[in-house]
Amino acid sequence: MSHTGPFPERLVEFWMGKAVEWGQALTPATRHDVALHLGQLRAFLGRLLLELRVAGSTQEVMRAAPFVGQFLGRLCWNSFVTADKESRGCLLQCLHSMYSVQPQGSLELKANQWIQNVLCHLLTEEDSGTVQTVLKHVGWTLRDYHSELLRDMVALLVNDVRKASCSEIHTRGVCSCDRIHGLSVSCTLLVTCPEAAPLIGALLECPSVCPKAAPSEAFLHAVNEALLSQRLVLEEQAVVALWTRSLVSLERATLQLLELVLSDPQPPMQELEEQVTGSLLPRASALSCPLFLVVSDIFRAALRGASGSRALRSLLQAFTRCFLQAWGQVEPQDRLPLTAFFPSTPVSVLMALVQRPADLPEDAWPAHLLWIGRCLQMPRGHNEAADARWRCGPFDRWLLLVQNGHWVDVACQLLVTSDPQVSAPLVWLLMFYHHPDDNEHKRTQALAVAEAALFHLRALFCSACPPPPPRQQEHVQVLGGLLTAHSQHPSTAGLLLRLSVSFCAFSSGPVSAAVELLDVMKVHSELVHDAITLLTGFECGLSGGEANPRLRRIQDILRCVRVGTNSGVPQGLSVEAAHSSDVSALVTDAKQSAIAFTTGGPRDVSLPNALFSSYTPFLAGNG
Amino acid sequence: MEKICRDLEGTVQLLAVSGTRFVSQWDAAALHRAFRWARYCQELHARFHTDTEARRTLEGALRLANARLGGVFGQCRDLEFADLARCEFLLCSNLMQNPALHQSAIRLFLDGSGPAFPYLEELIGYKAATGLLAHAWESEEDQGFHDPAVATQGRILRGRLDDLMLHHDSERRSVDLLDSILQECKGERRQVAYILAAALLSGKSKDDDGRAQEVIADWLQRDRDLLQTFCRVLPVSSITQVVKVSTKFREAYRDVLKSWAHTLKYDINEGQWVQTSEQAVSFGDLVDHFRSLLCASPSLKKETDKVLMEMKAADGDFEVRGLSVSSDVLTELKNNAI
Repeated sequence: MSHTGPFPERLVEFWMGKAVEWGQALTPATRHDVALHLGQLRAFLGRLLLELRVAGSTQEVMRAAPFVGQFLGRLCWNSFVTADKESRGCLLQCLHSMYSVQPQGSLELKANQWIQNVLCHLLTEEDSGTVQTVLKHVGWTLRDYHSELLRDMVALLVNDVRKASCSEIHTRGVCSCDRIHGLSVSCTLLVTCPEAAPLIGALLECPSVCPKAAPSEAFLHAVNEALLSQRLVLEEQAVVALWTRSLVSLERATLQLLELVLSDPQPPMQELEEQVTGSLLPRASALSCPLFLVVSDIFRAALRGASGSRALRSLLQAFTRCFLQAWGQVEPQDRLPLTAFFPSTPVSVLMALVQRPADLPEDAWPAHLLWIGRCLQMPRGHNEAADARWRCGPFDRWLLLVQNGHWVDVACQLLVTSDPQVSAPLVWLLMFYHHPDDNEHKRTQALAVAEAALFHLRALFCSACPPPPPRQQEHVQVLGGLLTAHSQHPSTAGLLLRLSVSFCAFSSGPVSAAVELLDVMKVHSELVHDAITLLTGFECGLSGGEANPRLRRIQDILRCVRVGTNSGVPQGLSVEAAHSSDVSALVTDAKQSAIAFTTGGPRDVSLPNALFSSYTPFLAGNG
Repeated sequence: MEKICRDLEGTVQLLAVSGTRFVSQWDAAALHRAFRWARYCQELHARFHTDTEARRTLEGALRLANARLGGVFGQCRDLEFADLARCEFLLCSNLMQNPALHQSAIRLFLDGSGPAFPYLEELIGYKAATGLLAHAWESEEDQGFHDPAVATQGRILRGRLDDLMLHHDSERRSVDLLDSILQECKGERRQVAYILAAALLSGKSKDDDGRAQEVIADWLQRDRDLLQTFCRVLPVSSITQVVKVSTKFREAYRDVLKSWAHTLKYDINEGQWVQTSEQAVSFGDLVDHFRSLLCASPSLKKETDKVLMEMKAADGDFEVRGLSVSSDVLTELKNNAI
């Protein structure tokens, strides 16, 4: 058997080499190297722990892999390693596994003695007699003292860092850059230590006038990972500073949100908004326009590959809503105008779309929607600059509608309640929303299907002359047939579902018709799920969260139907399935898009300093 | 309640024993029992700390238990009601620093799901973190008073003294506390002086009546040697700060400066004042001490001027260099006024 036990010899050699090299010499170079190898070290310690746990006895371990004792010992003596929570946990558990309750033979006795010594060193070393005496007499534990000392040190260093950044700006006096950089390396090892968070924030916010003072890459990476895994809580400004300094970190954050949202097919709007807010992206975007542009562009790239994905569209809508809310909360003197965030959109269109329906009187909705529809429609002969105010193509117009999807919900409501004679612009808006990139022919076909469905829906939900039960059944059957026939065409099926659910929710026609119509959906449990998501979206966007009795009633019916389908979890055939079934593919697409612009790629945006200045022209020129 | 009071007395004894050599007889089962008692006391604190009447009863029981114990197991602070909230940590702390601890207990500490593990893990983490950040100060020469650990220890000591001020025999207890610390840190008087100065300077809360400060200043004057060390090793600016916060210290400091002045002898050959005692300071340092006082505030300037003039008058009011220290100090201050 090899003397490295279950580990490849070269790997053990590497880590032993590191442990020896690091030793106890706590120099800046060692600190830097430990920070650089931290991730790998954690993984190796994790593997080692697993092996120790399955080993029969300490004697066995020491025979099979004699390096273990020395390796653990050396690491335990290195406070750079023990400062990291995960490494520390692993080391202590390794010691626990190696401690023999009933030691057999001198080897195990020696091992036990050694572990006791290591612990003694870890616990009492470096604390002078004075400290111990004072603590004993005032009744403080060493743990409480060191926790207090850490807080004090952090407060002092925060002051130093802030002062350093001020003096650099004003006088360029004594250069404290090395110290600031060194602190950032130290903090790489403290990212999961809550007491160090203020210092981490101060380092991030410290303006790097001198390139030597820039925080280390490993630090930025470690902070971002800890932030995303919610093991570190930072002030908003620090988060903005982190993402402004490190575009890669911002992309990781955005992609993580995408992954999170896409892994849960369609959470209710409210839950989705909580997830989005939790990502800190809307708030950071509101505070920093360049961040907003990058995040939007990643979403845009993801949607380009999967424009039909409802999950993505909902995410974008939720993100925009949260962003607008956060933007509204920023002090007016500290914020840029909204047009800076949407540079390719004419201000009048932008303002019309971002307006919340609840803030307008309901009788103004039809004219408002008519105006939005007209603005979004691609003017014939647009190459003659029929509308020179737009600086982007149809995809971006559609994107704008998706971002402000609440007006699509309003269109649904108006379509149900208004005169069929004036419904054409509303139908167009819904068509545009569901068929953004279809050609003329396909769109005409879909329009015909939509008109047919509308005919039956109007008849079914006519409150003035409700159809007798046999006729009601006929309409329901036709509508059910349409849904089934187009279940393979996600865009059309999505449109049909939206129309059906809108009539159930907003018409004043008989609820019995809704019961019948929703009941035919139960053959497709996924449709029911989609319908519930739509309804929660209506509730959230239109009534501003206020209880609307009919909406509630329809939701209850749908829930009953869902119970009847015996499946609360959508699977297989969904109106969105064709687009969103392969979540990982979507995320990969988005990642590739993100990588494309971090590495220059087709868009030729160089990193990192040129990024923000080059974003606006890039967006503008992409029409 | 009677039973709870008995339980509390048991815990007071348990914690006292946990720091002694008798712990060597505790096996794994005994250790587990000890931790259960500690947790029980934490629950008592959680349940009764807002219930004034029950709290008073328990505080009484603790006082009685402490008195009965009477320091049988060596010098350590009495257990108070607030301590009950962190009984487990106190137990861990005592055990981990006890060399007599039975070997089998080590495994209990290292057990990730055991009661002592959080203490161990956090202590190691905090120590490593403070060690790591201490590097930020490394480039500076001997940090002495400016070592962040000094400020922390000073504040902790001050907090304890402030707590003691609420007791009826606050003065005796404070003096006992400071005496014990000094007794055990005989070889570290410089360090003790730093911590005392940090304690004097750390009270900043609004309702701070400065009583603890005066207790420290009073106590400092009892030990002339320590007082001299205090005034000699601290940065001049810090002493001036202490003067600003404590009237009692101001008087003592004035006496120290006078006595330092008396130790200086004029060397005619060298043409300058020479330090004759290691316990005092050089002429230049003495001038710095006075200069710092003169710059501190208008009232201190007035007072210091008066002291110097009195000293000069007592020396015979000479204006010739080399005859009177105070006269030369005044000349030096005038010539090198800031």
